[in-house]
Amino acid sequence: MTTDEFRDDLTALLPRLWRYAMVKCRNPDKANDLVQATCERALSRSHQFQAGTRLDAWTITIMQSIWKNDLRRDSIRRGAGFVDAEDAGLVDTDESAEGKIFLSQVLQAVDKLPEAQKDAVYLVYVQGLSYEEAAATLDIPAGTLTSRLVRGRSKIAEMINDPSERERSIERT
Amino acid sequence: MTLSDEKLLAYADGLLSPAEIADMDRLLADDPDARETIAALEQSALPYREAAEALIDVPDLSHIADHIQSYQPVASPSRLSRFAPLAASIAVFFVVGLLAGQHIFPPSAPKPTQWAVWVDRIASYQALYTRASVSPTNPPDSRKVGQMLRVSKLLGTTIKAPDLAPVDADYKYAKVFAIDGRPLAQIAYLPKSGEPFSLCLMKTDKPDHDPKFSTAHGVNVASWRKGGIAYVYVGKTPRDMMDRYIGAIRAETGA
Repeated sequence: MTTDEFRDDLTALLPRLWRYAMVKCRNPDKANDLVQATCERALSRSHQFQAGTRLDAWTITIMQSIWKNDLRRDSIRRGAGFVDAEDAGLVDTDESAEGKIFLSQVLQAVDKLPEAQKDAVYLVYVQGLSYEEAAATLDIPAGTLTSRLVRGRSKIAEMINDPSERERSIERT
Repeated sequence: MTLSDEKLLAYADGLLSPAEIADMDRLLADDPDARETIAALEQSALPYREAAEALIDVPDLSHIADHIQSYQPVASPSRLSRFAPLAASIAVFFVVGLLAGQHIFPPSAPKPTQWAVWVDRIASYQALYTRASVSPTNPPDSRKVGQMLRVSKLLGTTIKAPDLAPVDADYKYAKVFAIDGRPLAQIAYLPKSGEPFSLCLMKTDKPDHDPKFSTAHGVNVASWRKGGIAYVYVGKTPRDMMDRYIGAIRAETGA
């Protein structure tokens, strides 16, 4: 892969990186910082990327590492980690379109999961990584990832079936 | 419950073979806890990706895109593609050609228009191309999207790369150059047979006109203007094939 190709592929990933950054940061300014830092590190390490492997998984691994090591504590200290998703603008609550109501409920259910389960669900079912790729991205064993997925999805099923459970999850968050 | 989470999840996500599914069905018949987990997983098989794409707005990220495109990494020679040395040579020749463009026309000839000089420079660049200049492998759609986003941003209007697959020519890449300080986009195609050709685009405030055909540096050229964009087709393409490709380009883009 040439430098131009790498840069073009990374540029094409920006919308997906932004959405994942928003899920993690819940704050546009922080998400912007996270995406910028991720791209900066990806560019400086582009020679380490192996052509033929997935650039999205490789880049998300970088984002995960930056979030874990640099930005997460700062965000939580500032309270961003405890802002409700709706207040943070993560979820569009405009209910004028019926289809959006359901999609909004889906996204809110994911957002109410504990961070470890939310990451697992997001990487596999939104970013489209395999179980193995998601486990490598999160630096956990594949068995741990699948357990988080099962627990997370069981919790989502409870929330979808019982709105009061969603409220309890909000209180626990 | 004796079934692992991995098995249950793979079953619910439809990742097992028919034989494995049959095994699981037998095991689930005797395991009410596992059946309960499967029921929860089936209820939570939801449109997660669609929800994220529909509801998490993506702002203008052009400042980050610009940074990515202008970043100058130190390339490791061992990782350069086999086409890189040739591409570098072409780039050098192109720059030299652009710089020398004003000397291409003999002093005794009538002073050409600026547009004619630019077209001549583009032709001198394309004259260096052979089939070995472009990769035989087609780029992934995501790369094409990223390249065309860059071109569109540069030209200030949405530019769609014409799909020439129906006339047996594959999109290879889009690059951005500058000619006398003005942005020039090049979209390169490789036909199933014959030499590669390029469609170059520049912004213009001149009136529309239909294709005008000429030859320069052994390259066939067609240039036309439509809707504020000047188009230049360049390639060592036989005229009958050139008409076919240009027809497809104009039909695809409305140009």
